[in-house]
Amino acid sequence: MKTHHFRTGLLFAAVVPFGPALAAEQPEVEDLPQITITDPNRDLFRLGLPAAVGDGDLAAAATDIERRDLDLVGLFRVLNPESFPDSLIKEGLGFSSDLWSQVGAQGVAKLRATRDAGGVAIEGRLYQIGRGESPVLTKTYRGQEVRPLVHMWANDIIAQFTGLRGVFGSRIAFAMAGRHAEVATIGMDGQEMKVVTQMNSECLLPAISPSGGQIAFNSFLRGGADLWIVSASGGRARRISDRPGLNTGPAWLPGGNALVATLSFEGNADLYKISAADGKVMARLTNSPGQDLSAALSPGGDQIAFVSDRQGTPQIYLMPSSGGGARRLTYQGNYNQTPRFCPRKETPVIAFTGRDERSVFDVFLYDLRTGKIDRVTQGQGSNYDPAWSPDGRLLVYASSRGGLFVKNLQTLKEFQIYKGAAKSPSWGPPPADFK
Amino acid sequence: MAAAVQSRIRPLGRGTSFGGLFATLLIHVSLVALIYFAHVKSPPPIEVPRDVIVTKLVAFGKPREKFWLPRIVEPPKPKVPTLNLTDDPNAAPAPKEAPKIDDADLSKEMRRALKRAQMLAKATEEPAEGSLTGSLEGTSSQGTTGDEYATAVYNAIRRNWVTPTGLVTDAELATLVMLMRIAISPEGKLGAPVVKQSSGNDYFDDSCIQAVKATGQVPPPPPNFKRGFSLKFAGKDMAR
Repeated sequence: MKTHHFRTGLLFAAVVPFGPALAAEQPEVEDLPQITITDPNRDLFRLGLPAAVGDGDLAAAATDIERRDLDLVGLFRVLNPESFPDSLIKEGLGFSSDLWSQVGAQGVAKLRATRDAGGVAIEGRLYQIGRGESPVLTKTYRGQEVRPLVHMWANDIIAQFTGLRGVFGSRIAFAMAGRHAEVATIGMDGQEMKVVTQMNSECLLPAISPSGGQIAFNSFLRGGADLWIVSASGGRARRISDRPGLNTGPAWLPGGNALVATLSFEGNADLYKISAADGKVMARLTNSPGQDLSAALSPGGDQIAFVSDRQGTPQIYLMPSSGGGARRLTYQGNYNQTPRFCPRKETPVIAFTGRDERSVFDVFLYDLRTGKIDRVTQGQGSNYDPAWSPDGRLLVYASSRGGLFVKNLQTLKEFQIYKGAAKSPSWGPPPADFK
Repeated sequence: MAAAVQSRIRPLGRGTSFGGLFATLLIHVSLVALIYFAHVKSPPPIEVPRDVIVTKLVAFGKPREKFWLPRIVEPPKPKVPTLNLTDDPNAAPAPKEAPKIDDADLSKEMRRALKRAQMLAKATEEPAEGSLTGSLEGTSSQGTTGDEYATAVYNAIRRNWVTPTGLVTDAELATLVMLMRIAISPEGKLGAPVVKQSSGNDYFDDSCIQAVKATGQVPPPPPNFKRGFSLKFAGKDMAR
């Protein structure tokens, strides 16, 4: 046998004979040397989205919506269609695993969009390289508008890969910035923006109800900071609390019949539970010397996170939703605010805005199991007012860069969904077919 | 006097030349026998059985900027004034020459810039360090052992191994291991991977299979090569 000499530092991976356990299972290869390959490269799943076939403009619109959705969700690297050769473009709804593999795709989603007297029909097929030439998912949708149908297709693709449907079709409410800033809503894909109030005064802190039908918000229309509710589809707002002092920071309780708000009519700004119908006080939840603000309900509605300066600086506190017994969560930094619970019960995490040592605001996560704080944004202006997507996969937040940004917390891919000045986003419920 | 000198250089054992010759022969024979038996009876070199080792030699790095490499800068050639004359009164003016470094009219900064440009142009390539088949992760430019072919196969496949971030979390990745077997033809073509043990995660398994398929071809194996390799894909290097 050839003698080997080796030097420390040259060795990286050992090629060792088969282990006894494996050798017992496959005696025919027991003499093959083994190479151990570790620490793979990491990248997003490469998804090919060729142009949809079918009726011209409709197919083009479906293609645009599909590409935007699957790019925005942050799970995929959507391949540049310009890199597709003619043979792939002309493939139709068929599929050649070898050809798509050559352009680097790991999966391919195809669409056919057609219109007839009954409305719009979308047929989608999802293929995966290495899973044969047949689609792993085939769906057909019918409706009147192409956008919601393609959103459903995108949600199904996400479910195929992750086991949990996407939430395309859900909407985000936010306060437009400026002197006469109204409350607006926008689709999570950044399309179909709609201004829902006509207050002609500064509106703040919109909060979409659990059903998505109503939006509670603050307005200074009558001079003071009053609480109002407006239909999510727009219309005339109704005032539910105009008590002396502050009436602010609404957060909906599960069921949508009550709100937690900050009121100061008794002298100090404390948290109260009030009726969503008429603003009647149902319970006083805090009674502290400091100001208690920015309440957020846990997914089960049994806990409230809020901000209080009762110990000197604004910090995040947690208490039962029945009030009392608040405990301080954050001790790092001297300005922590806007806590928001992750909507997934199995992920007890609170997103919040924190001011760092450079006096820059950024979004952080507080893990209720470990007390560990993770940073979500950094080095890109100030980022603040986080809100979770209904599936807990994405965060939307406002930024000093201008507009609203969505970030996938697993892949950290960020996408700008609104470019105007905006603040205080509130993510509405998932579409009806979410499960 | 001469006799005294002659007596000094007289060889030893004068008058007994046979005894001296015998002693010399004896010494030489003893030495030859000693050397012979020392070789014949020495134990054979011990061959310690050991595993084949993948070595990863450092790859060629990015070539350094020529300006920073050590070199000898030649002094500028002496300026030789030239005068080009023409008899044609309508001739176009001669093209203006680029300024020379030692032109007294040039500013100090311009002279320095020209000198730098001249040095960059004259700098010669230095031989790069490392092995052509080395790894970017290597830490030395020399090596004396290891299985170069296994290293080449390792490098080729790992380069193409990409796991999807959004579909396999970092925590999951650390626990996943997949075993497969590949055959390699004499031309270096990789055969279809045969999965021997799934990781339990489809996306991880797909990424391993895809890595082999995307690699397709590796260098032709050496003459004594067995028919393939067993590949163990591990999301995390447990040895680290």
